[in-house]
Amino acid sequence: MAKPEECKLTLESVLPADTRDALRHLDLYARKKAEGLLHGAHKSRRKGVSTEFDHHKQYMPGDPIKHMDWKVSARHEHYFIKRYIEDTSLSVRLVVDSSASQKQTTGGVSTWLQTARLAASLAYLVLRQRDAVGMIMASTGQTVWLPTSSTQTQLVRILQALVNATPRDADALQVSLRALLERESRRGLVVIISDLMFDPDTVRLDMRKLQARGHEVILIQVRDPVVETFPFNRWMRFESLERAGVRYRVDTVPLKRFYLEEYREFMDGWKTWARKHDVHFITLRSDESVETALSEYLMLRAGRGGGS
Amino acid sequence: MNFAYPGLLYGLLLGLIPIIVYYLMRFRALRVPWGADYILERALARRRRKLYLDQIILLALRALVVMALVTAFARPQSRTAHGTETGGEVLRILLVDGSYSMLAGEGSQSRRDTAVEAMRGLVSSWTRGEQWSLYMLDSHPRWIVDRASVVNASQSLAILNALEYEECAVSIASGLEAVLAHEAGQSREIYIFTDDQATNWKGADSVIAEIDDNTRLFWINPTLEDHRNLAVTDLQLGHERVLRGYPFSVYAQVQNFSVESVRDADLTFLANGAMIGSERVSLPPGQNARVRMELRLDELGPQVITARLSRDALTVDNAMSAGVEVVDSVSLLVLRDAERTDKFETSAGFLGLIARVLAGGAGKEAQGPLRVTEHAEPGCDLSLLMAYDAVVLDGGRTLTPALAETLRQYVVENGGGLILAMDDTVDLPVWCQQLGPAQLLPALPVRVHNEPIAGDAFRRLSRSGFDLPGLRDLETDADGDITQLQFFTWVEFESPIPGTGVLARFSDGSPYAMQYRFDRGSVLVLAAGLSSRNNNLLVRETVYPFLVHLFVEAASSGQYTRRVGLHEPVRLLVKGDPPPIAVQFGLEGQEPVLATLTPHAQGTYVEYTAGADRSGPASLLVLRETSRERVWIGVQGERSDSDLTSIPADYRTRLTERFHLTEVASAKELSEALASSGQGVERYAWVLMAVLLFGMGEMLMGLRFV
Repeated sequence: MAKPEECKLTLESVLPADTRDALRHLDLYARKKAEGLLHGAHKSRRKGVSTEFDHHKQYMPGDPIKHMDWKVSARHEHYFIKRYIEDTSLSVRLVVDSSASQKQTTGGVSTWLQTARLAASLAYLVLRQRDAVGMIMASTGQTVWLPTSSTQTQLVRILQALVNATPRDADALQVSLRALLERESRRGLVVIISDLMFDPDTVRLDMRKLQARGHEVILIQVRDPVVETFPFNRWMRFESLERAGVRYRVDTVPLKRFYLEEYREFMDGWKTWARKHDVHFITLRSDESVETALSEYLMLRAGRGGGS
Repeated sequence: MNFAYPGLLYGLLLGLIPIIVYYLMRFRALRVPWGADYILERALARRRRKLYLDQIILLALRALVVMALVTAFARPQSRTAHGTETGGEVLRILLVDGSYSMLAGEGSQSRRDTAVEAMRGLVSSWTRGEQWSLYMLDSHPRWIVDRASVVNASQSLAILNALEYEECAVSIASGLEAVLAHEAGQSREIYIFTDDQATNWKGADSVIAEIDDNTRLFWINPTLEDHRNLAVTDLQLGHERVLRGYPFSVYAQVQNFSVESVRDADLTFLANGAMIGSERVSLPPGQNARVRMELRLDELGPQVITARLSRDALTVDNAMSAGVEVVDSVSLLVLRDAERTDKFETSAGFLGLIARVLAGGAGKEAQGPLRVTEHAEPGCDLSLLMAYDAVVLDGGRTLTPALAETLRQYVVENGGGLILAMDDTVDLPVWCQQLGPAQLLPALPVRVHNEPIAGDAFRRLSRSGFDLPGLRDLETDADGDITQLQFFTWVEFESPIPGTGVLARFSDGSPYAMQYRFDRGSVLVLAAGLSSRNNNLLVRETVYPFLVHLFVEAASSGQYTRRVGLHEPVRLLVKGDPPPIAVQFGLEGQEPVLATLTPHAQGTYVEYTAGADRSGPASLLVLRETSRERVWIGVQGERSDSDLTSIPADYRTRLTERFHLTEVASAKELSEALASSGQGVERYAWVLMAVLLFGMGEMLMGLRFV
């Protein structure tokens, strides 16, 4: 396991060229109706100019007369106007957990690196299909807020923010979600990337609030193999990455079974919660390929109907 | 609970190893940065108490495994005394009867063999580190082993095999007192290896009654079905220097030590191992008999005479020996009174005739058994006397103080044999005056009787009670008096001093021949002369053996005795050239020991002061530069251990039932008795099972975490 100080990222390590190549042919569609400023490939919750008819609406003063359906109005005694489904661009907000637990490193790959890769890949993917992407990465006293944008420079900004960030504090994700709830009201896709090593209740509440505001929420968990398998069989001194000076000296032989039980229960809890609240819950290990995991997920998502 | 290797119990401290390892591993915990605090904390918070308990149980099981293993290696054994678990160490004491009675047995198996077998079984069952002692009861009761730790069984068995049994009586009571006084207050197991001899157990019950509860007694009493035991308690020779071919008497005393009558037991006499006679003996219980045997020996030199009984329960007391010197002649020096000038006025002339007759004719005296020399000078020195086996001083009126002193030195200091033959010419006042202060007169002569020759007043010798060789063939009358011998002159004596032996009496009971023995040397006083002027000794050839017997009796006193008791010094005067360079004292079955040599006027004085420690034929091997000769000595013990009479039944019952004395007869019974009381049972199998259980527990505990 690498030391946490070695978690400095580089642009090339966050978004390598082969990842970009692998992501080139993937598309991310919104499952819910999007609310964007620009025309795009995603269905908008607003009815407007489009070629796809939605429904008729009785004319009310102030409605544009150009959408009047004279044929239908002629058959009835009232005026009706046509309503069309408006295509709009997708607004994706990446919420990146930069808590200190992300420094957990196994085999030279930290969960933070995997998290950054995921965020960069998603940003690349979204920008490549000309949708807007933003990123929130907050911790106590420091908040990285990148408003959604579909310009190519947004990717650079996101990458630079990831490279410059250092995981710290214990409640970074909660702070980020709170900032998102406070600042962003436009509906879109919220992708939360975290190792989930915290008390889930607060985060789950914030995620429910996001859903209530019409956001689609995707939760991606980055798992560390050591945390997952707990491959110890001797006395270990676990030094907390999030709380300085906190350490646990335990004999892992008798603890191992209990730990794994606890871990399994924890994971099952997240899965159950995500299924119950219609949140896509994706997990991948820090040593797994990001593009493979994203490909599998996006194909699965497209197979389910993309927007449904 | 006792342990074969109690020292290994220090290894119980090894039980700390798991605890030390636990803390060592805890101290050396591997540091790892950890991000999943939340899950780790939850796991710890919810199972902390259970984890803590599991740790303690695991540590305890591991420590117990180690400690149980150490306990198993220490070989725990259960020990009891008086049926009560005493705990701690138990001192085992072997009280071994080292007397000859333990050699009694039937067939090839003796009590000693059975006892040693039981001892071997017992000692073999002990293990390294156990404490034991061995107290030997013999003539010098002592601790052979005093609280020693068993190192290995073979070492202990070697000690047992080296035990030697002695000809002595023992007291179990005194042995028990010595043993009980030793290490008092400690748990003890006393194993008494002895028989049921009543003489041994006298007073032991009162000692056993005082034994405390921490002491347990085992009596290993090898049984004996046949207690029949005869013993030769004494063997005496008529005299220890005998003439070749001449008869001499041997007296063997036999005693029946059993409670049954013995009929027709064979008593065999042997000379240097060759049988020369036998007799049958029948004896009621507790009685003894004196068996007389007349023997002749045809080989010159030292020989050993042995009286041996047929085999019975105890064979070591069935034989007794005595040494004898066989010579071909006895030299006599007759001191002639200067006033007596006639050839036959002294005994020399008559003795010369007898010597000639015994030699087979005139001119053959040098080859005959009797060599007679007459010394007619007024005085004589000691060296002259020492050249002869015996000196004859017969009647006469001149006896100077100087001669008396010379005779005293000859007899008292140099072991000479003096024959005082008092004939009709003896001057009693002078003799009493000169010889009395020199203690050469065992009885003071009172009066000389002179009766006319061929008259009716004469005296005869009696055969009653004096069955001497030579007198047996003479005719006797109805009163047992020898009719063919007549003494017309004789001397009356006062009562002899104590220790004086009467070899022959007149028919009226007054002594004819009296002998007083000094340590070495003797005086033979004859109440009549040897000249035949006043008796018919000369004319009766049948009397000659009797006379020769008297001369040999006097001559044999010059040598040191060839019959000694136990631990009695053995002495010998070795004459002849060259002088011995060494003399070895040897006893059958023992290594020879060098005796002390001291130059002496007549030769070399040999002494072995320690003596022999058991009965049997012993010998002094005289080594000269060019030759060697063996002089036999008969060692005769007191047979103090021959009485095999068992203790009374009520006494035995009191010992075994009232005083809880466990009596066994063999190694097997001892083993069963020990096993039935749970003694010596190894318990390490249980401990190993505990190890297994603890180990399985530890393994199961470990499996819970997988």
